[in-house]
Amino acid sequence: MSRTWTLWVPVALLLAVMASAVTVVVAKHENRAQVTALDQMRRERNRLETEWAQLQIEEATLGHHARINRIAREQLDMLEPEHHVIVPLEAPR
Amino acid sequence: MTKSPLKKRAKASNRTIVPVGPKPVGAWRGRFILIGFAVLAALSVSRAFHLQVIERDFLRSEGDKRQVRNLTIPGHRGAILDRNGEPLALSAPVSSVWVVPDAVLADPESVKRLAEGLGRAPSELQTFLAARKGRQFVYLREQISPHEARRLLDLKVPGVFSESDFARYYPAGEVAAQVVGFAGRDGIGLEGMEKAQEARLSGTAGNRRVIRDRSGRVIEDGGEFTPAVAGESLNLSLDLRVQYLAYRELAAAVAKTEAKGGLVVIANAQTGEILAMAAQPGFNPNNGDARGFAAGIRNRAVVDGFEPGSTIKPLLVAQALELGLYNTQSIIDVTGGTLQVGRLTVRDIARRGEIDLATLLAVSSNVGAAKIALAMGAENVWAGYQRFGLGEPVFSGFPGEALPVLRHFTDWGQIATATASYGYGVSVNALHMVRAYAALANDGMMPQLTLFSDGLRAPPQRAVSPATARQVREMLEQVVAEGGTGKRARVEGYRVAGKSGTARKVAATGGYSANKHQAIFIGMVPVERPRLVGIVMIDEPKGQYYGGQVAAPVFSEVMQGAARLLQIAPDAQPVQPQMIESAALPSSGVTRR
Repeated sequence: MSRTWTLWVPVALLLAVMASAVTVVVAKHENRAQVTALDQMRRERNRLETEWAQLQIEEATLGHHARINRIAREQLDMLEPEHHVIVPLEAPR
Repeated sequence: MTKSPLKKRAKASNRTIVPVGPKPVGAWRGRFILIGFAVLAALSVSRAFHLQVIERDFLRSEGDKRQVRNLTIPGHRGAILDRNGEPLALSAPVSSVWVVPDAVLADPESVKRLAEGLGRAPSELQTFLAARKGRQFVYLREQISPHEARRLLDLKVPGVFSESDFARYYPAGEVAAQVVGFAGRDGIGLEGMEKAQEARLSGTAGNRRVIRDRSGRVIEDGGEFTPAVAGESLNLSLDLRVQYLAYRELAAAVAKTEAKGGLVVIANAQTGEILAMAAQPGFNPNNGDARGFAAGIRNRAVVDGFEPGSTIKPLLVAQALELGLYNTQSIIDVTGGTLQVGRLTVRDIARRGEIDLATLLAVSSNVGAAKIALAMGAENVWAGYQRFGLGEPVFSGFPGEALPVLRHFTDWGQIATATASYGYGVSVNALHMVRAYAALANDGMMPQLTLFSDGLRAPPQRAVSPATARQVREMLEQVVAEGGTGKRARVEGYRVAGKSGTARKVAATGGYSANKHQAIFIGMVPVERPRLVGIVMIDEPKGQYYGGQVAAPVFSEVMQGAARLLQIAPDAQPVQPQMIESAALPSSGVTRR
């Protein structure tokens, strides 16, 4: 019994050490992979934020009231309706 | 095999007697080796000591420099939005491209490529760079879109770098420029709301310690992490649609009358939210270089005080009614059109005989107002103005608000009492008048004005009784009726109450100027239950200068549009059907009748 012990304990420890070493390597690798992925996500977020800000500005520029006003009046020949041709559909509260 | 060397030695030993076995070794050799190893060991240990102990910090920092990076995470500045979420100020990332001139000049080919990318002549770029030879940092393009910067970097010209930054954009441009203000290049607010709300808008940059590999990819997150805090976004109470309308009509009126400037403020009568605040002349907040010196930066509606002139009369009448000294049937004799008060002669423009209060307001009789004020006494007049908040600040939260000047009644003589009755000797800003009229509009409850659509608000205060407010409103409707001074303020489909005013400006030489006026109109729509209160003031118009001629039409245009935009139900009697048929319809044919 005691002889089996003295033989197997070191072997088991050795195997455990090996397994732990491999696990460390795997964990480290995973960590790097995750960090890279996270970094990529952050970049993507930055890029999207940039784009979002630019699109907002673009929208505001294209939708600027002065521009709409000019296009409506000059290019589309639109007019503001006189008050008496506006019919309120909802009864005044 | 092993025997043979022995045999040889044996042979040799036959001749000379030499001891058998290995030759004895000198003791010095052993010591030499030992010492040698000791020296080597000492060298190694001392070198290790040197590296590990003495140079440790230096080496570690050098190593970290090559690997560990402190990445700054920018804290965005908050946006400024109108009440519907339309952006008035936004931060967007930009890039600036800079060069090391020597590195670019080293190869003529790269100068040529760079010039092509920039759209500049190679020779011109050559001179530009040569003039800055020896410098380590020269901006090539500042604050351009990141996409554009990427394109320049992709030319792969040595010595060209970029840095990213944030720039502030004002999509509404000149329309809301004075209210929003602007921030400087360092992102700190310099004017307007950008300055007043700096603490809320500004973000705090965070940082992150990471380890990077040679190609710049992050391979390990150090865990040390200060999160970036983005600035809050700010919802103003402005409605950009109404704001644009006010801006457009004001700009047109100022241009038409060749006035020095003007302002428009439109507020929600019940909540006190300011829906539009426009001022002329204006400036473009996106034009970084010129805006710092532009005359239009001043937000006249808040930072300029003026004498309200005749527009103060309804407040006087409200106080007279409130005190019970007069009622709607009271008759005041203004025959002759002049009134002598000490050295002061009060004059009317239109001569009338005996008039009631409504007519007094409709024709804007100074004599009548002065008579009421003198009958009430200085204290009552003063207390009336105090009720309407003319003696206290508006607390609009806008920087540089003009404080009111309403002297204590004990300083008033007869003359001061008489002049105060028609709005001279009292100085307020436009918001004071809007707030006072909002009290009349809101059945006597005076709301506190605000420029924010969220946050805590001071509760409204009672200025006058609901009955008084209603009576004054009905009188003010006569001002806009045929024969009143403000008939050009009429808004089709709505009943309008308002008051025009024309104030002479104080001349630079002292006294009142004979030909410099401020034309004012203040009114509310619709009379029965007013939703909007607005003021229009045109500063130094050329030609016509009466409030009813210059300011009232602007009021009419802005209110007509605002009532439609805000879907305020018309309250005027519907136009007769035959009038609709006879009315000229727009040629584009909106109707299918």
